[in-house]
Amino acid sequence: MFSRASVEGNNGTLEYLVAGDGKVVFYLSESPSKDIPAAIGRFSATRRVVVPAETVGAERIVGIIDGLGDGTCDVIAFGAAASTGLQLAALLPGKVDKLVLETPSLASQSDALQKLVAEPLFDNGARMLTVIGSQCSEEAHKTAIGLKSSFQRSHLAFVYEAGENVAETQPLRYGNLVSDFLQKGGAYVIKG
Amino acid sequence: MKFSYFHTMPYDGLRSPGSWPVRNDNFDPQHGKELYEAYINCLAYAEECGFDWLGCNEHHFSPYGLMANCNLIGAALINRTKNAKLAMVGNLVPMLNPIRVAEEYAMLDVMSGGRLIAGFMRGVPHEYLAYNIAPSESRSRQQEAIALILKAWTETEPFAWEGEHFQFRAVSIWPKPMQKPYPRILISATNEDSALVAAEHRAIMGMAFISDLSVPRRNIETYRKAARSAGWEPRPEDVLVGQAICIAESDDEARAEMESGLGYLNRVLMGPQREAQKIVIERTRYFEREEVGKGFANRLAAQSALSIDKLIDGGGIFCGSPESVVRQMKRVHGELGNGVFNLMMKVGDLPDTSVLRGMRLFKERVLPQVCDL
Repeated sequence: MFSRASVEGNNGTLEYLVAGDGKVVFYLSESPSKDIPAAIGRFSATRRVVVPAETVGAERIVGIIDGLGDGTCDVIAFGAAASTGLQLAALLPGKVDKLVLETPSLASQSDALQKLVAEPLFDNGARMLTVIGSQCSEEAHKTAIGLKSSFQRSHLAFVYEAGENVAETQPLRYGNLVSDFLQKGGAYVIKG
Repeated sequence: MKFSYFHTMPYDGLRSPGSWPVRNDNFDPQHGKELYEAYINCLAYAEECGFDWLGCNEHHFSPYGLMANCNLIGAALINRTKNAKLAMVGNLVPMLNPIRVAEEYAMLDVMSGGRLIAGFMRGVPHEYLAYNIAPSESRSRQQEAIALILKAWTETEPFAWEGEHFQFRAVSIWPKPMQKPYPRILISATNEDSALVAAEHRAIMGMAFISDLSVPRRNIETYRKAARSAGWEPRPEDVLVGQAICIAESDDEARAEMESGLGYLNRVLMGPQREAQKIVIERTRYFEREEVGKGFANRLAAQSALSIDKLIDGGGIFCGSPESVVRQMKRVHGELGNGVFNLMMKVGDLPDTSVLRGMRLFKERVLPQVCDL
């Protein structure tokens, strides 16, 4: 379903996987070489799903975004890739429309991001949804709450009976929730 | 030992049982108003008589109980009482909107100054027919509803919920409960499967319709074991046992009144719903294990067929003079080690004059003998 493509940038060639057509949604994970969760693959029925083929920082993903055209995009970031998602939204204000952080882990975040998160009610312009499983650890729960309280246009969602990897443990509920958020984020985060 | 004054608010004066759902052309609103007044007065008086809790419950489509929403009665009791716990035992959470339950319970807790005991009941099988909810989903709906209510009570940030049965996009309830982290919760545990659920949630376990003490004894043991596995040790006050009770000056007088009240309860009030329950148990997966369903049906059937003596022996009722009732309570407590008795004094159509007399005798001659159990 996914095909390979590449983009040239200042730091060389960056390969990515792409499937579907429509508004672009990036999927960033801790290890891109791993299988893309089926729940993410299914978004390609209505959207253009783009997955960087290697773990890269936000600056290099900007290159892909630039190569894909002028429209806005959405970003789904899993685990430690949450930092990249947040940095991407900060680097491209107005370009990232909706940002989904699944079980975010910010243990290895950069100083810049730490500063960003520490700032109360920072507005990166994106509507943000943090997704966490009801069976996640207390630590994961604290991180999610911290993000919810730090970002102005952000929301928090619990997926019942889901573990650390929500897309894998509850693919249907995860798919319903994220696809609904991508379609009508304004219903989750009212503030414009 | 704590004592709960439990009321189902039955409708009296009916002659034939009919079938379920019980047609309502015999319901007289003026009589209904009088019953509500009398029942609320009894509940308020119970605090004066030394009862620690006032218990209400929820039933539908039947004269068995006039509390389709027991939270309304809880609210009516707040300003009529000062210290008694308001035990809603309880809202049938699988059938209701869990967010609404979280909100109404939080209102009761705040308005009463932290006196709520929150019952998260699964409901007896036929209630599912009333609200058109699949009985087979009852357990999973109960589990998810409890998780969602606890999240709504404790979460400090607005949140969305994506579950199997319930989906909400933005939850942030006002008010939140006064008791922290949340009110004591109570879950019905009339079988071993339910006892496990109660232990998992560190809830008070509640049992009623007892016909043989070996059943609650086994459930309590299951509950205690499961609680220990989950890392906590239940106290006696975590075990509630419910009985119908009639206290009179003499054993004979109490027995005659109990027989009459039970006759109305079993024939008129419970007859139609027993049939409906039978159908739900036979045709759905309300009980995941067949033997649990059979046990439930057998227990109800046994209760309605037993003599007063057998019911006393089985621990399902307390009946007699104050001295006899004290003996009976001590025996059941000795067998089960429970810390709460949930006593239903309005048995069937027992006149309120008899109920009030029983309450006075409880205060003066029973409670002083059993309060230190």
